[in-house]
Amino acid sequence: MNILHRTALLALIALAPGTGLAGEQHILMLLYRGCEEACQSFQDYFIKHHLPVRFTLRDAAQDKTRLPGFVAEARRLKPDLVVTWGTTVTQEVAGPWRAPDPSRYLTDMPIVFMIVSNPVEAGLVPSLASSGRNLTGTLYLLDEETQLRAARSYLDFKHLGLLVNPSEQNSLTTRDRLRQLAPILNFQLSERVLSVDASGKPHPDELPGLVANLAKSGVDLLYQSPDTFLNSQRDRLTGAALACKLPVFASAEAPVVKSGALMGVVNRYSEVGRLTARHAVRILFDKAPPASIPIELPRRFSFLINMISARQLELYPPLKLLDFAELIGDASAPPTSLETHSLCN
Amino acid sequence: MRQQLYLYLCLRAKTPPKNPSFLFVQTVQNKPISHLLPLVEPLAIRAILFLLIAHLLALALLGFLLADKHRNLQLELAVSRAEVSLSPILAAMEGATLSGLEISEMLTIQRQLAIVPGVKSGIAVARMFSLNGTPGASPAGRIIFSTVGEHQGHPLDETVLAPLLKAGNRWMRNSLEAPTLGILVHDNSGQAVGGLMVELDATSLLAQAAKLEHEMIFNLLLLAVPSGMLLMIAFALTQRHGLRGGRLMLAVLLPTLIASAMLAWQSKEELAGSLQPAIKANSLAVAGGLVSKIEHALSLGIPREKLAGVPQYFDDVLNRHPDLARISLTLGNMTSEQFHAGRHPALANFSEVAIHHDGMQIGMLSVAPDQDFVDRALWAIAADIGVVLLVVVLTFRELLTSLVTSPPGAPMANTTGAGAQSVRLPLFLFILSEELTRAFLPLFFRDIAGAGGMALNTAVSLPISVYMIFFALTTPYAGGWADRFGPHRVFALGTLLAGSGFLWMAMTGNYWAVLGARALCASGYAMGTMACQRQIIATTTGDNRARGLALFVGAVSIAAICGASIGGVLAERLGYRMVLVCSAGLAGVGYLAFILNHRAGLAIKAPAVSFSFGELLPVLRNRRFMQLMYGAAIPAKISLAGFLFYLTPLGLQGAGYSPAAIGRAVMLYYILLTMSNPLASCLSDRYRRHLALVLGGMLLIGLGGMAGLFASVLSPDAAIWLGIVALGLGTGLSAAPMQALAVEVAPEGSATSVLVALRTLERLGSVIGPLLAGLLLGWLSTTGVMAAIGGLTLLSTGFLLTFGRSTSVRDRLLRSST
Repeated sequence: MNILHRTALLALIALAPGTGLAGEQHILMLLYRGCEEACQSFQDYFIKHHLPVRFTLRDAAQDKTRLPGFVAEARRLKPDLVVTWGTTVTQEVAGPWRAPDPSRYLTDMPIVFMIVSNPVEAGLVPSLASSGRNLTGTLYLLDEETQLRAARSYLDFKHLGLLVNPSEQNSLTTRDRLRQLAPILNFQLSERVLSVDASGKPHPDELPGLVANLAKSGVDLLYQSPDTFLNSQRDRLTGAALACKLPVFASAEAPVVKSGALMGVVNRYSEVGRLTARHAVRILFDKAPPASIPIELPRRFSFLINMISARQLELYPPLKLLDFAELIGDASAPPTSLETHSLCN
Repeated sequence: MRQQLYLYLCLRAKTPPKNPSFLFVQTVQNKPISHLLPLVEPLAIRAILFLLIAHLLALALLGFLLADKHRNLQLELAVSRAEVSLSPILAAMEGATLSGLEISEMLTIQRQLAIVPGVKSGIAVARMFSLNGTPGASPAGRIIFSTVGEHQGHPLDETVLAPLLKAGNRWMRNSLEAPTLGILVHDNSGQAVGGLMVELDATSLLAQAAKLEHEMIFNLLLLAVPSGMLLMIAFALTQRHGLRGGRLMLAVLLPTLIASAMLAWQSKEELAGSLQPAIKANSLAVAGGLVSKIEHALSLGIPREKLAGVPQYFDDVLNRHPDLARISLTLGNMTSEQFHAGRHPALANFSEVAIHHDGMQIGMLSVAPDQDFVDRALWAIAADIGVVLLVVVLTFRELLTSLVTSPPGAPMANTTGAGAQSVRLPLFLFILSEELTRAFLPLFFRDIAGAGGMALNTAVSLPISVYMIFFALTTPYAGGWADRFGPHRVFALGTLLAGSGFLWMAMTGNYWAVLGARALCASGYAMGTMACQRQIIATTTGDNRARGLALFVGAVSIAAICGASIGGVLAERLGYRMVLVCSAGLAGVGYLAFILNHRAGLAIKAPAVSFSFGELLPVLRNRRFMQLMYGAAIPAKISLAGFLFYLTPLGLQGAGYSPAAIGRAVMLYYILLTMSNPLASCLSDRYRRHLALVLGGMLLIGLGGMAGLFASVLSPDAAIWLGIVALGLGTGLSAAPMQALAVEVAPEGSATSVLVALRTLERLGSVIGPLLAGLLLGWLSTTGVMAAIGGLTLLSTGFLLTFGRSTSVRDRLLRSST
C-alpha cells in the first residue's frame, strides 16, 4: 500500500475545500491526536470504493480548548457529515444526549464518532441500540470477558495479576470487572496498587518490584489494563514481566505490537476506522438516519501474539490459534532487548 | 332415500374396515376360489401383471435410492477434499481482508490459488472473485483471477453467484455433471467482499457413477427375473390353496422383500469398493494439510517437542470429516494419536505424509479412514428404504384387494361391490398423485414466490387456499355431472385437469401460473373423487354401498400415507419439479387403470339425488348446527390446512429437515388418523357420546397446537411433532362423531343437506387456515403461529362447551316423534 502517495492525495483534497464535484460529499474530521490508523483507514475506505467524498481534517493536538473553534468552523463549512475521534472531542462537539444546548453543540448535522470507550457512560447516547438523535458511531474496546475467554484458548491461567492505577478511572473500572469475572471464569485475582505522588501521578520505578512481587505470589498471567500510564510504561512493564517469566496479556494493541506483551485480544484501530466508514457511507449515500444505525464493535477481533516473547517464555501458541492469530515477529527476529531487572531471582 | 344416505353418512364416518381385508373375504365368499382357476383367466393375468409391475417398480426405486446415495457420498467426499485444499487460501484471504486489503490486491494469494487445480485437490477450475456494489444495490461479482485465463473484471456467472449469496457463506451445486463449490469471504462488518468459486473435476466422478449404475442395473435385472418368477409361483400357489388375507399378502410380498434385501446387501459392497479411491484421496488431502500446518508452526520457531494443542486440533479435524477415524503423528520422540469414538480406523489404506523441517525429514503423519463410513452412510437412508417398503406393502394390499376379487362384467346382482372394487385402484393412484406433493408444496411455493421477489408469507399460503376454494366450489357440481355424463367421462376430465395442473406447475416459474395450476388440480381432484364416489353409489346397493363407501375412505387414507412419505423421498432425490411430473404421470396411470377396469357397459346411473341448495337454508339457520360448525368443524380444518399443510413443511425445513423427513412427519398424521378413526366409531356407536368425543378430539388438537409455546424448551421440531400427533389423534376421534352429531342436531334438513352444509362450511376452514397462518407468520415464529392456531381451537372448544345436553335430548325426542 502506498501510504505516502495516499497521504499526499489526501492533503491535496483537504487543502482545497469548496472545489467539490457535483454530488461529492464533504466530510469534516475532528481529531485529537492527529490522523492515526483509525482516521487513515476511514479515509482509505472511501478511496478504495471510489466514493465521491472530500475530507477536511482538523486536529486539536490534545488541546481541549481548540474544540469550540472547530464547532464554529463546522457551522460555517456546513459539511455533509462530521466525524469525531475520541471521547473528549465527541463530548465537546455533540454534547450530552439529554438536552444538548444547540448554541454550543452541533445538533443539526449528522455526526459519526469513533474511538470512544463507553458512549453510554460518557453521556453521548442513551443506549447502544440507538442514539435517538443525529449521531451514531463505533466501539473499539472489547469487554474483559471476551478477552479472558480468548486468552484461555492460549493459556489456561488460574491466577491473574493486575496492576491498579488509582489515578485513572479506566484502571478502576477494569479492576471492578475482573473482580466480578473471577468467580465466573474461575480464576484467582491478585491486585497490586500503584502508589500515587502528591501531584496524583504514579511512579514508574516501582513497576518492576510490583511485577516481581506478583510473580512470586504465583500469578501465571499479568493483565495489562488499558490505561494511559501503563501504556506509556509498556517496555518497562513487559520487560520486567519477561524477566520473571511472567506472560502479559494486554487489552490494547501497542504492548503486543510494539513491546513485549505475549498476547492481546483487540480491535485494531484500522478495523474500527473501516467500520466507522461503513456507517458514514450509509448516512451519506444510503441516506440512513444516524439514529437508525446501532453503535457496534467490529464483528471479529484480532488475536495478537508476540512470537518473540513466546520463544523467550517458551510458551508456544496451540496449533489451532496459529490458524487465525496475527503473529508479531517471525522466527528470525532476535529476542527482545527490553529492560530486564533480575528482581525475580 | 334419506335412510340410505344416512347410512352412507354413517359409513363414511363411523365404520371403516374392521378387518383390513374384509373386502377380499367378502368377495371370495361370494365367488368360490375354484372359479378363479385356471390361471389363464384374464383377471388373474391382469392381477399378476400389476403385481409384477409393482414389484419391479419397488426394486427400481430401491436401486435408485442406493445409486443416489452413492452419488451424494461421492460428491460429498470430492467437495470435502476441495475444501481441504482451499482452506489455507481462504484463511489467507480472510486475514488479508481483515487487514484492509481488497481482493484485487491479493496477488500472492492468487499465485497460491493458481497451483491448486490438479489430481490431488480434484479441482478443475478455480476462480477468485470480488463483490462490489454501489451502496444499496445488490452486489455484482467480478472475476479477479481464474486458472483458465478468463479476463480480469469479467462478470461472474449469475447462476452460481446468486445461490451462493443466498446461502450466505458456502454453497455447492449438487450435480455430478457440473459440481461447483463457492465460498464467501467477509470483512469485519460481516459484509461479503468476495470469495472463491471452484469447479470440481467431473470426469472421474461421472465415470465412477456410471460404472456403479451399470452394475446396479445388471444386479437389478439379475434379481428381477428370478424374483419375478418366484412372485408368479407364489401367487399361483396362493390361488391354488385358497390363501387370503394376511397369508396371501405375506406370500406375495416375500419375493419382493427378499429381492430388496439382496439388492441392498449387494450394493453395499459395491458402494464401499467404488468410494474407496475417493476416501483415500480425501485422507491424503487432510494429511497433507495437517503436515503443512505443522511445518508452518515449526518454521515459526516452535520447537517440535513444544508443539501445543495437537490432540485438540486433530479432534476438530476428525469431527469435520465423517470419513476419517484416526490421525496419528510421530515427531522426533513425540507421538500423538487421536481416535474418533464410534469409528473404526481402516487397517490398511491409510495415508502417510512425511514432515520436513530445514530440509530434513523429522516425522510422519498418518490419517486412517473409517472403514465403516459407507455402512454408516447407508444406515442414514434406512428410513427412506423403510418408507419404500411400507409403500410397497400398502400398494400390494391395494392391488390385491382391488384386482384379485373384481371380475369385470360379472352380473351386478351377484357381485357385491364389484363395480365399487373396480374404482379402487384408479382412485388410489389418482389420490396418490395429489398426496405425493403434500410434503414439499409450501416449500415449492416459497421458492417460486421468492424468485419472483415475493417474500410474503401469504404468497406461500395463497396457493393452498386457492386450491381449497376451487375444491369446495367444484365438488357440489362434480357429483351432478357424474350422474349426467357418466362417471368415466368426469373421471377422465378430472385426471386431465389434475395432470395438466401438475405439468404446468412443473414447468412454470411464474407465481400466478402456479395459482392457476393449483386451481386446475383442485377442480380435477374434486371431479375425480366425486366420479369415483358416484360410481360406487351407482354400482352398489344397500349393505354393499356402505362397504363400497368405506372403501373410498380406505383408498384416501392409504394413498395419503403412501403419498406424503414417498413424495418426500422422491422430492429429496429428484427435486420438486420432477415429483410434479411423476404426479402428472400417476394421474394418467390412474385414468388407464380406470378405463381398464371400467367397461363402458358398466356405467350404470347412480340413483339420482334430489337435492337443491334451498334445502341448506334451514340447516344453516339451525343455531346449534352452526355452533357445532364454529366450535369444531371449522377450527379443525383451520388446524389441518393451516398447521399440517402449511406450517409443518416450513417449520420442519427451518429445523433442518429434508423433504423425506417432512414427508414421514406428515405420514404420521395420516397413520394416526387411520388408526384412531375406527376406535372413535366404535366408541361413538356404543356409548352415543358424540359430543364428548368431539370435545375430547378438539381439546387434543388445541393442546397439540399449544405445544408451540414450549418450542424453546422442547426445540421447535419436537413441538411440531407433538402438534402432528395431537392433530392426528384428535381429528380421528372427533371427525365421525361430529358428522353424527350434525345430523342429530339438525333434524330440519335431510341427511344429505346436513352433510353438504357440513362439508361446505368446514372447507371454509381449509381456505382460512393457510391464509391465517401466513398472515400471522408476519409477526410470529412458526411455532408461535402454531400456538396461536391451537389457542383459537381451544377457544372454539370452550364455545362448544355451552352446547347443552338437555336440548340435544329434546331434539332426539322430537326426531323420534316424527
